[in-house]
Amino acid sequence: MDRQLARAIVNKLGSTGTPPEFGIEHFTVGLEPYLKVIEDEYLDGILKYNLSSFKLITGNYGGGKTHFLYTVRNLAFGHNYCVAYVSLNPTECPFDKLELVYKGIAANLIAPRPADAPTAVRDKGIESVVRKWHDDQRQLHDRTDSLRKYLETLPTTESTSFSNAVRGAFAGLMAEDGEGFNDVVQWLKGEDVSKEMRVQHRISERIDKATAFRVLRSLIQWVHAIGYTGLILLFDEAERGMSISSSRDKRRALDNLRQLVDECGNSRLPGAMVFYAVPDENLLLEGSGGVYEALKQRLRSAFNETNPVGVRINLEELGIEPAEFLKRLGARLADLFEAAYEMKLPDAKRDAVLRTLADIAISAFAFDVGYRRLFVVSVLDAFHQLRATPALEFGRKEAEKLLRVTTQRLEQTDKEQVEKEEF
Amino acid sequence: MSHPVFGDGEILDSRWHGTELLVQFQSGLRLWLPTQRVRLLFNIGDFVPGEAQPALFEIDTIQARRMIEAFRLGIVPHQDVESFTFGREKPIAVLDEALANLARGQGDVFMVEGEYGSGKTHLLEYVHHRALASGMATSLVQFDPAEVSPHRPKRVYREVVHNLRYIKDATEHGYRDLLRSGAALDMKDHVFLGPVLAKLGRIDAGQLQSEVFWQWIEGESTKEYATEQKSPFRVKGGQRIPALYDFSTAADLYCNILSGLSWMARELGMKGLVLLVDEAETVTHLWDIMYLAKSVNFMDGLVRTAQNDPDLKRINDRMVHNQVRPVPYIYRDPSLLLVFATTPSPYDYAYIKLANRIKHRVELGLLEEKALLDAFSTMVMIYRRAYPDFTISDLDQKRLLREASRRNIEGVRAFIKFSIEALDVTRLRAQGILPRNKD
Repeated sequence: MDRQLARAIVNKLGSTGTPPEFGIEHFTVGLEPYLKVIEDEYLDGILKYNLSSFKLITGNYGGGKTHFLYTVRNLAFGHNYCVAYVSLNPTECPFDKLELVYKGIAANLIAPRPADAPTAVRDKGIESVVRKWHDDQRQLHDRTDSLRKYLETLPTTESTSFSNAVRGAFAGLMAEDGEGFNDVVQWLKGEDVSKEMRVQHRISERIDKATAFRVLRSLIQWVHAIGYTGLILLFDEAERGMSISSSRDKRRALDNLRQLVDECGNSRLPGAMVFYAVPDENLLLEGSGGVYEALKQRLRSAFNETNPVGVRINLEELGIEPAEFLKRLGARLADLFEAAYEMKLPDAKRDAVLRTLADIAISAFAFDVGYRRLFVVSVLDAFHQLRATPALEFGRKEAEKLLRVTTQRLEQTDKEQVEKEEF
Repeated sequence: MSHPVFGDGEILDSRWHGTELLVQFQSGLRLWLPTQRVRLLFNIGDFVPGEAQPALFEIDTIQARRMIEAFRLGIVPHQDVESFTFGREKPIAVLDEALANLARGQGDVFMVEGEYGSGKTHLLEYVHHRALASGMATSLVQFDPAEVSPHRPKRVYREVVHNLRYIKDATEHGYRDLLRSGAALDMKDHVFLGPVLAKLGRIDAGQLQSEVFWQWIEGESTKEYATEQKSPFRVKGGQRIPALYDFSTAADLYCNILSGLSWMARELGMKGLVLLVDEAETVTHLWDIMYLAKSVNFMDGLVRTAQNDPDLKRINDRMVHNQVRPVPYIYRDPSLLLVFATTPSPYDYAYIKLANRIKHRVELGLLEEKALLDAFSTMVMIYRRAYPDFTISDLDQKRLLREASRRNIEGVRAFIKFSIEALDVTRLRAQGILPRNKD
């Protein structure tokens, strides 16, 4: 494995325990049944026939939701899908304000790309997808009139305004009119634009709560029309997108979610698949009233056991015992660490570190899947110690101390992160 | 059915939208009981696997996969509704009669009521298909608090025209086709459609302004570039067409337009216009009292328009009218059938107001045994079509059906979801993706 890539992964994992968005397959454990089904049945299956699907992902904090979503993203890239990974939150991207959700999708839209390197900022967002679309078509059409004809024959989308906007952006690039391009892209990003610009490009709609669904459907139709297999929407930290103070806003958010599920069920989002990740389905579904009932009926699985094609994918039910899971994960982390620092950890000491930390993490956190994240951070810390002091004796006492310190550090980091974003 | 205290019994009747059941117990006791307190027992002795819905025999793998994926979410896809309907003979007979009356020129209003998951949307989809096949123009809209709320009549109008369909010469047509055909009719006395049809006769389809014109009359917010003097896409003569008002008091204009469209459809040889409104309970979900009042007024206006209420053929002081250019709610004699689907909200003012206005109610209760048998057999057939390598023994089918039927008490949706998930698990176990059953 590439040393730089391995080091980047180790640094990211070792600092917060949250997975990096690249190289994820190097430390993926236990997701194989789910991923095989998602690839065979959906990415390489029904989505290619313009159908759509929705999955609710559940798993506790540190239980691997983000990891799972990144893995799906990489699989999707391999099948020529555009992907938008959107981290929901109550201020910038709450689910009761679909116009802000659309904005989040537009800002995070990525065309298929190699999954083993970080995504550059310039490669992210609807602007970069439009640019790539233009560049690709320019290579296929050697004459301007042929390119213009291609643009004219592009299928229109449900929202004529959206259709006019993407054509306007494309035409701006064709004419090397940077300012015109930026103006239209501003609208496509969900930002306010001047009336004159809207008149010039025949954009009649504002992207607001009343039009957001239409524009989202149109985005999916456009992605499809320009040659991609479809669009995969990955909504992470959805519980934060729902943590809204007023019950009315929450009902609105849930109703939006219900509508999204129905759009998928009726294949109104051709070639699109939505993953919506929450720590616990009860955060969404425990309530009384119509919207809760409607969602419960759609999103609750009839079975408690693992069912990778069911509407709910439960990451706490991987079918592997925790000890076996950590053993396999630890071995992968050790390989990564050795590749990152071009060294070989002493076998006996490495195994002892993994065994001791796994034992304590599982017993101390028996009822919380967050032990996985704690284990990852602690193991990498211990490997660093071992690398600095090869003669280090890493016993139970040292392991307990390390886990205690790491727990406090992660809690503090989480708290700071939430406060930074929300206040 | 079985009750934990009173033992086994037979269901004789239901009330309050199926939330209570009248049960005759083997002991002779006869009681009304909450539905959730009883457990339905199921006789599967007569079940013969393979008796599937014949209309679905010819589906291909992709259609089958589409249906299975929707079933996993507890939904039946729009396009498959007619062939995947079981045990709703009575409601269907009522609504078929309504369609037949509309074909004779008599509009009306119906309210389909049932709890969540009882199949209201499914029934609306069914009527949608039947109306299309019977030569009617039809539009199915779903109210939504944000996107299509009844206190904003223009948005309802936009949704109606966006979803409007009819079949002519074996081809599906939409709103634009309807108006193009209607251009030959004399509707000069219609406040909106009159000038629109006149303009249509002069418009050049190849010009960009034509598209702007269409967007405008379909309810898109194009006014600023459709009519402003400096706009490069200005529709010449557009000033003569009244604006499609965005405010909530414009219910009169939109009811007038919808009744005009139904009249137009009839004149063009169709059998009227069918408007199907799903999630109609949204009318009750408005928190602002002013919006709620306007919403109730629009619904009331729509209902009375479909009922061809003579009081609404003139400006009526008891109804809300727009103050820019008030018009009667009804244009000439409409041929409009209106079907609302709603969850009962018996304690809600807006619901009571709407319900009291509507004479015909269709209640959806639990599915009966025969319907469950047919539905299950059909699902197995579809599943086999979706996954051609999948096999399941008759004995296992009976076992799954018995389990699934217990879910029927929670609604049809729960029954369908359980059946499909059970087949999924069986398949994935056989493939080795899931571990074999421990028992």
